[in-house]
Amino acid sequence: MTVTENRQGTATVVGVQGRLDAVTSSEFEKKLLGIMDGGCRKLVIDCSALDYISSAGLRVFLAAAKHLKNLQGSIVVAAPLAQVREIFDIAGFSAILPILPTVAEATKE
Amino acid sequence: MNTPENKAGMDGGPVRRQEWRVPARMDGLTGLLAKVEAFLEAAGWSLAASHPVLLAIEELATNTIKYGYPAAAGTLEVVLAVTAATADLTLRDDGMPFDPVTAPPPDLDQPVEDRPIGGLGLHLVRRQSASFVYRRLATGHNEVHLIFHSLAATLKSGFQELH
Repeated sequence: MTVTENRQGTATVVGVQGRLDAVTSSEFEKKLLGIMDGGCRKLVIDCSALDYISSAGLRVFLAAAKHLKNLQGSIVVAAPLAQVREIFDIAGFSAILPILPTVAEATKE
Repeated sequence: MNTPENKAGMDGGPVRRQEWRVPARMDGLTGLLAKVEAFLEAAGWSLAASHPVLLAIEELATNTIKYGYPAAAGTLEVVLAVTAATADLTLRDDGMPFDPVTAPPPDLDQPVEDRPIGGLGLHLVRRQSASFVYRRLATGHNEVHLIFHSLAATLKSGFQELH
């Protein structure tokens, strides 16, 4: 699992590559918390190179969504692969997080 | 188990079978999942098709490691038999009795602020498997048996239903 970060307008685009599982997810959570502590209120998670996600990874998205909601911020999921999108759908996350097909659309959201 | 390597599967294709035994510890999980993924890839399964199988192993093994062994160390056993169309997965552990099949489902209709963090893993496994059965063995083991159909097989059966 690797994480990249870049600013696009008011949004911070965080790319997460590889796998978010029970072993790697805590590191991803620490990175997101650091970015939010740095003042980010609009987070776009670029999932285009995320191969795998389990409930441990979903937990990080939910925790970030709760945190940003308290701060009147927002989180958008961009470009998930089919197998990852299916996990978001089955978990009911599609109803609580915006999921957009591309990063460009997600930064406009 | 003594399934011959070259036994034909239900779809007529060859069956590839492999077993793994690992200590019931989180630091053994990454290596186990990498080996299972490589085995599935060699059997022609893409990562997209393998995802539900890998997720089931991770979710069930994580539960067992976290809650199944309050005192002693244990061993997890994974048996996987695959054809091009179907994956037949058996997980065994010697931890405390736990039936993941009858665990209560999460409430998915709550807004972000009320959603509990956690409790989703078994729900994902239940929804992505074609069969999900638990039994406690007389040997003192938990045994979970799951069946998955590959994406290609699902698309094919959908196609046949349409025609």
